Amino acid sequence: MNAVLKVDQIVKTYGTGRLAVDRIGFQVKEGICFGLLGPNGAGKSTLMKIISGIIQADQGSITLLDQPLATNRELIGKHVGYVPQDVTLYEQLTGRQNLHFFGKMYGLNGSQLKERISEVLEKVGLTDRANEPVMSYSGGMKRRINIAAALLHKPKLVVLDEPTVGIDPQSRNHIFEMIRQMKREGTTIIYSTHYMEEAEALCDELAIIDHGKIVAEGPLYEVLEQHALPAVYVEADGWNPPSELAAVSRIQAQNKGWLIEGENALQLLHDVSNDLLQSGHRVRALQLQQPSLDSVFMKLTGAALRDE
Amino acid sequence: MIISIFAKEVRLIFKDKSTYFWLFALPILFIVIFAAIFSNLSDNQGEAIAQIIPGYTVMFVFFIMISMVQSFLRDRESGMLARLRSTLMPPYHFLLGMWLPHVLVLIIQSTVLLGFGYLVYGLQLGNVLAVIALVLALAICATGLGLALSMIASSLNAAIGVVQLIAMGGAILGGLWFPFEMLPDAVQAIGRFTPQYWGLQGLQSAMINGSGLNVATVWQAVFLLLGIGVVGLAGAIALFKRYSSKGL
Repeated sequence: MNAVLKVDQIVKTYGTGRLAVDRIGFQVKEGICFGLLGPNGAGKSTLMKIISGIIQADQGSITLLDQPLATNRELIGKHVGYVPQDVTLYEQLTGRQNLHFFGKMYGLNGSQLKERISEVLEKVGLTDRANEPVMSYSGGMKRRINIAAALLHKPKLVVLDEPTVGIDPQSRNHIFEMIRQMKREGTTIIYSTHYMEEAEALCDELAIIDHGKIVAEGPLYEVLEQHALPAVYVEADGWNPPSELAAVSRIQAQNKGWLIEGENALQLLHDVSNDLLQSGHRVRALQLQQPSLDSVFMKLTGAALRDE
Repeated sequence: MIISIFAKEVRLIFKDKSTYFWLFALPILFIVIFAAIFSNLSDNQGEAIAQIIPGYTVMFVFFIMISMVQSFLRDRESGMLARLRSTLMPPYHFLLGMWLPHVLVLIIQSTVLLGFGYLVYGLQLGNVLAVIALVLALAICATGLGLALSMIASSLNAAIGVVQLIAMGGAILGGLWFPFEMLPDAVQAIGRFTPQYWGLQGLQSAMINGSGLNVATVWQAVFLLLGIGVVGLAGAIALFKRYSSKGL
C-alpha cells in the first residue's frame, strides 16, 4: 500500500517559546484510519493544522500524494478535508446553506455542488433537516454537518480532530459508520481522539504523542504487543496478591480487585488460582484480560493531569 | 469565491433582527425627534431638515464599524478563518468578501434615511448623481476605517469604545448636530479634519435647492472621503496577516 501522507521531522514552536511539535515523523498508508492519540496539549491539534495547511511548520517536510505540501494551497484545498475540533459553522444559516458555502470554498459549482450536497447530507443522515438553521440542531447533528462540510470535494485525506466530543451515542455510532464507509471507499483518515476505545474500534495504525513527541507508533496490535502485557483480574473478599507470585510485572488495584500483569498469562492465572484455593477466599471475579490501549496510553503518558 | 463570501455575509447581516433596529429604526427615530425639536425652534423648517437628515445619515454611517469588527472577530474566534485556510479560498477573497457587504449595507441605509427624509419631510435631493457619489464615498470611507479597525481590535468592547469616539466625536466636531457655522472657531478648525464634516458639506452642497450644485465642494468631499477609505483599506491589507495569525 502506498503512503498517502509522509510527515518528516516536523518541528513547530509557538511565539511564547513553547515547543508544540518536536521532530515528529510518520507515514499514513492509503485507505486506513490513522489515530493520533495524546493528552491535552500533546501537540495533536497543532500537527493536524500543519497537515491541513492552516499553520506552517518551522522545520521538516510533509508530502501528500508524493507532492510537497508546504505552500501548495491547491494540493491541500483539493485533497484534504479538515474537520476542526469545534463545530465551525454559521449557526444562523441552514445546514444546506452552510454546505453550499463550504462547497464554493472548495471550488465546486452548479449541478456538481448540488449533487455533492445531497450526497453528503445523505451520508450524515441529515437530508430531512437540511433546510433548518444549524442553531436548531442537536450537538450530534452539528458534529455530523461539521464533518459533512469537509467531505464535499471528495478529499483523499480527511483530518478529523476529536469529532465525537460531547455527543450522544447514536450520533457517535453514525460517525463511526461514516468513517468505516469512507475507509471502504479508499479515503484515508487521520483521527485524533482522547477516547481509547474509539481508537481501538476505528484505527488501523496509530501514533501516541506526548510533549510534542511520538512515544509509540505502528499498527494497533503491534503497539499493544510492544507496550502492554496480558493481565489477570482478581476480585476476592479480603484477598491481597501474595509477594511470592512468579513472573509478575506489575500489580495495581483496580475497581474492587487487583490487576496483575505478567508475560505469561496462563502461568499467572494458574498461580493466582492456586493461591486463592489454598487461602480459601471467596472469589467474585477471576479473568484473563486482553491488553488495552487505555493501559498503554496511561503507561506511556503518565497519570499526571494535563490542563493545557 | 468573493461572491460566495459576500452572499453569505449579506445573508447573515439581514438574518439578524437587530440589524433593522440599528440600521433603520434608531436613525429614523433620531431624525423624527430632532426634526420635531428643531423645526419648532427654527424659522426655516427646510434648513433644519437639510441639517438634520443628512447629518444623522452621516453620523449613523460610521456605526457600521461595530458590526464589521463583530463579524471579523466572530470568524476568527469561532475557528472559521482557520478552517477556511484549509480550503481553496485565497486570503484576499475573505477580506473583500467580508468588506463589500458592509458597503452595500451603508448604501441601503443611506438610501432609506434620505428617502425617508424626501418622502416624509420633503427633503430636497438636488443633484441625485452627486448624492449617489457622496453616499458611495461615505460608505467606502466608513467601511475602510471599519476594516482597518477590525484587523487590530482584540475585543468587541474595545472596538465599541473606538467607534463611539470616531462616530460621536466626529459628529460633534464635524457639525452634524448643529450647523457648522455655529461652532466655535477652534472646534471648526479641528472639525475640518473629520470625514463627517466633508460628508455633510458634500451632501448639503449637492442637495440644497436654490443655491445650486457646488461642484467643487462635492468633488472635494468625494475625493477626501475616498482617500480616507483607501487609507483604511490599505491599512487593513497590511494588517490582515496580523489579524489572521491570531486565530490559529
